[in-house]
Amino acid sequence: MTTRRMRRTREVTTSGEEEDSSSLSSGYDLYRIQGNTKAAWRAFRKNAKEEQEEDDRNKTILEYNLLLLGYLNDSQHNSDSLLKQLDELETLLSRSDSSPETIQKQHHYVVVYNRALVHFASGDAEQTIHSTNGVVREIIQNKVKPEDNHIPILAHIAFLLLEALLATAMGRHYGFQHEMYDCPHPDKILGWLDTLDIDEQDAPIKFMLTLYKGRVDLAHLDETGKHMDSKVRSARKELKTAMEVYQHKLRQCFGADTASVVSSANSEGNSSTNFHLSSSSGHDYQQHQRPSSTILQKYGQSALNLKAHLEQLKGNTKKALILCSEAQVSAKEDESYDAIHENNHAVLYGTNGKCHLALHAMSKALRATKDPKDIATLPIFHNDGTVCRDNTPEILHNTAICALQAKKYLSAYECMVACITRSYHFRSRPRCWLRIAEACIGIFSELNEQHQRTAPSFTSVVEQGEPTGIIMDKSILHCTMEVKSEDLVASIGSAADIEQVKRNPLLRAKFILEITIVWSQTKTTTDREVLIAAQLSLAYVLLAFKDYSEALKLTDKVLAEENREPGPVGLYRKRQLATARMYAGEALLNLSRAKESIKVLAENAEDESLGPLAVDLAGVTADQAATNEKAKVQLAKAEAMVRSSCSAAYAAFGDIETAKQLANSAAAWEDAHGVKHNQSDARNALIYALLREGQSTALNLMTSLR
Amino acid sequence: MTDIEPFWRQYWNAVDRSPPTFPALRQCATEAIRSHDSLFPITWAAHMLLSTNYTISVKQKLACLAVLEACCPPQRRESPFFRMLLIDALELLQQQLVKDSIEEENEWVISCLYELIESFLPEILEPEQFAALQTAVQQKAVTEEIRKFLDEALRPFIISRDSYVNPLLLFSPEQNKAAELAKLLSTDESKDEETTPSVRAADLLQPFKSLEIPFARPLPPPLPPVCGFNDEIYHHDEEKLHAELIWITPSNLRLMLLPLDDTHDASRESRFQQVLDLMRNKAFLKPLAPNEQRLIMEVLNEDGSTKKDPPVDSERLVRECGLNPQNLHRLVENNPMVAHECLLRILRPSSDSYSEDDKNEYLSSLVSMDMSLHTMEVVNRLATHANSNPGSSSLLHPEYIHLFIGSCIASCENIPDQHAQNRLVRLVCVFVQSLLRNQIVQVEDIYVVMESFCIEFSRIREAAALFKMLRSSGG
Repeated sequence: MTTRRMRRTREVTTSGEEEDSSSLSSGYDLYRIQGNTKAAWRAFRKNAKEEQEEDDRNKTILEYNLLLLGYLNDSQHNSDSLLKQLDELETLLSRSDSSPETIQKQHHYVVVYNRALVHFASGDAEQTIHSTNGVVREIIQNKVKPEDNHIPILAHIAFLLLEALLATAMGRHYGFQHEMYDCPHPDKILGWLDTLDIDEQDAPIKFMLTLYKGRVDLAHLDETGKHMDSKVRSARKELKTAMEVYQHKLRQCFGADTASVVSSANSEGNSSTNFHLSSSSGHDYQQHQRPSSTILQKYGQSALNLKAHLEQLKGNTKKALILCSEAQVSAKEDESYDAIHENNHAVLYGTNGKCHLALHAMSKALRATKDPKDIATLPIFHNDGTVCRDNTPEILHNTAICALQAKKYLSAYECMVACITRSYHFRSRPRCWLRIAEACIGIFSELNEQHQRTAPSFTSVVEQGEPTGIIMDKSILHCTMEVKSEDLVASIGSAADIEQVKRNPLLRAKFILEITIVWSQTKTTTDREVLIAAQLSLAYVLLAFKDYSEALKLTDKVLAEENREPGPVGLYRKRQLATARMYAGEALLNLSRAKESIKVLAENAEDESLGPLAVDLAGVTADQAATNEKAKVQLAKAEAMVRSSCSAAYAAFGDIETAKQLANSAAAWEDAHGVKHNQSDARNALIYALLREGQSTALNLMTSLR
Repeated sequence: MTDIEPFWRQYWNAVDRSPPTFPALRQCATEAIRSHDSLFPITWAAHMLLSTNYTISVKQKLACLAVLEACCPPQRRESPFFRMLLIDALELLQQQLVKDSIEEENEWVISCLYELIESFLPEILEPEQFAALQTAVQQKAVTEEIRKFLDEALRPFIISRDSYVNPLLLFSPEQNKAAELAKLLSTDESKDEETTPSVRAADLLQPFKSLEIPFARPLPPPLPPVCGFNDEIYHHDEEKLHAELIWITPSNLRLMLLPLDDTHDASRESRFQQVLDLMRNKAFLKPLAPNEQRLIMEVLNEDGSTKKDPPVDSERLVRECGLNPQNLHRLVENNPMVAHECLLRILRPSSDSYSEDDKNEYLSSLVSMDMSLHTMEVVNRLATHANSNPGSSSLLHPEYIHLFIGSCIASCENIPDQHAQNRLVRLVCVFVQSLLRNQIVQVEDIYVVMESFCIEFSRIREAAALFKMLRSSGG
């Protein structure tokens, strides 16, 4: 059956005209091969008028196809109304049982596929999984060999399920979430697809199968969220196979001129790896070798895109950039690809450490995306029937990450909030919420810096016109500004919310972090990395709100992680633990538990005890500290912080001498690395120690510093 | 604060006038607070005066304690000021005791303080502990055990001040700090470009919030690959960035059209009729044009996938086209490929329309035909069907093949034209060689017949080769 179909296909495409006597079969081919929806619609319409179908079922089928083709040609798109109309026709189809069971089943599969694809195109990957999983899981579990005429449609349903699983796995850090949806593992689905007797001549399915194998391989991440070498190698092999299928079978199948491609590729020396043609000849490709069928163009585009991704993972940025450009050129008419192209460009820059260039590319990508106001009416399919998915949430997510890297915290906040507002999928990721909270803390750190420069510090006491003393601001010795409690704006992302975040970011951070902690611990899995980071950040926020007992509980949880993980502890985890110890020390001190505070910070006031805590807190390696000037400054800051804090704890405990020694030692670290006096933790600690002692030298010290 | 200023002015006057005894001070305090409803500012101010370095006389400090005591209700233990009172009393006692020499005039102060603190003991000790203490004091036999529980009872009230630090710094005129203060305040003003706010000394009798402990609070490290908020160095974690930043891959999936149900297709039916006409009116008479043959072959190649399907068009075509054993030779001669496909439909085991006898008739008719290239092609295709389709059974019994070979030999022998004879002999030899190579017939079954045939036509190269093959195969 497939042979016959393919033969007829060739007749249509090679001649460019309808050779077949039946306008109906040419209608199918016009859509399937050329992607010419308009011509296909006309062919179906003509058939519907000329030959009055006697069979009700075929009448409904014609109506169904006309509905789909009409929808693709229409300028007004509304996925809801499409689904509603499809519903009605599906009901009619299910009522007519005059066809053989095998045909009915085939129709059922097509209906399921189209419905799921509409969901996927509308951005509802979860619903897509639910719709397709039933069919795929049943067949895989029951080990039923599908009938020959069901194989193409079943393969497409499996591809759609894989596409949805890939969409939900993006940026998840722990690979696929198939268990959450009770789906077979993507590898199992691919294994099943391999067992299918796919017709040798059904090149599109073969091509797509190899591409999906490559993409699934790339979606596999190890426990630390990194790509696995073996899977990347495997993806490279799959891509090579995909290119061979494209070159030797797919182009023939779509009636493209194979000779030009083969000769051009051969002239480059390696036909399989250079099928994308000369890197410098994008225009030549555009003019001479871009296939006439938009469908074929898009197949080529996908392969080039995957190759660019592989080059990116290899670290070959230059080649990846060229491949990205060629992928864009390969289907120039497809404007929706501009956003994808700019996003991938940005990812390339971002992973290469060029966060500002990445942000620039991201802004272009965002300009190319759909306006949220028009989202309901914009097409979710291209005219040729391929999915035109809105990638704005992914682009917003990437923009937020790049903005965080570039320390543009307000932009990062706005982008990530817009991302979670637009996509349920991202909304369910605790990591996205954590990033929002981090953006808030970043905004707070900027406000804090401003505050340190501008905050008023004293009230003078005047008697008979002469100053006789001062009243210090209660937070004068504290480098972190005070935060105020107020009602949180209900609507996240609104103008009022942005105003509040600019003014009082920790308020939003607190709310977001509480959500993050809950969402990172589901019934089945716990995103431990996110959980610990969120607990630590929330402890920071609670300290700012002076909720010391709650902050202490959180730091205890973080510190409990110290003994949880076997093996060597990474630099980042050490930094988290050191920060947690500092927070615990502060909380204990403010809860009048000075002795415990000292204990949690260091066993004694010696350098041997304080040094390791400072090194961990700085988050630098010994090598970096020895060779890099900036790392030295970072370490010095941490040393001063640790000593100042210990000094305060000793002062509160009553050991003023030790407190003064530690504060002086902290001051020495600061002086050595040029830390400004008005931000000096060491001076503040010294003043505090002197005040505890009741010495008026505190005043002398203050006057000398200001 | 200004509300309580007259209170303190009047109270200090009364204290100055009163004799230096604690009951007298108590009396002053009780009278002073009688007209005031809000006791908190008064008690707080008293506590502040006691706990800061604000310069007041010892008598005034005792007067402050008297105010605190007067503010406590009869059930002092439950008062919020009780703890404050006890702490301040103990601290003042400590201050007086640590002085190098107790001045004579202050002895009354210490005795007053002892008296006051003793009055707390029934409140802070358990009844039996207090009874034991009283007995021990009366008997002048205070044991270690009594000292211990007394220590424990008083310890919570011994001042530790681990959190409160007064933000008020006052200097007596003799310290001469005015210049330094002016410098400090002017620096603060120039920084803010605003006048530093000021208060009068008289307004200081108010509670001040403690100075916060200057604990350095580092910012939490963001989750990698995002760098620390205040980090000096840039941590570039490429692997983490790969996982964090999303690479977008376009999808090639498309909407699918529903295929028509061909089993009820009118166009299909018309096509079938067209093919049937071709078969009936042309296929038996002359060779078909390539497109006609392709059309017929498409219908013949269609196959039902399940038993539930209605009879497929291929079987219907064979049944309705008028093919029978008698006219088979005409179809074979004119359109051997079509004939082969028709025979396949008839001979296959799943064919229910034809009995075994019917099948034998068709085969008998086939093998008894006059030898020609076309008949030979059809027989050869049927014979090798099992080889080219693994899993399917042989359609042609070897017996029929032997019969056909016999028929072929007879045809060769009977043909008068020598040129045509040579051609036929060559064909037969190649045909038999093919059968032997594919093991469709066994050498021993045909050896005798073929040996004589080969000898008869040994002048022809193909016959000699066949003979050689027969001999080498063990014949």
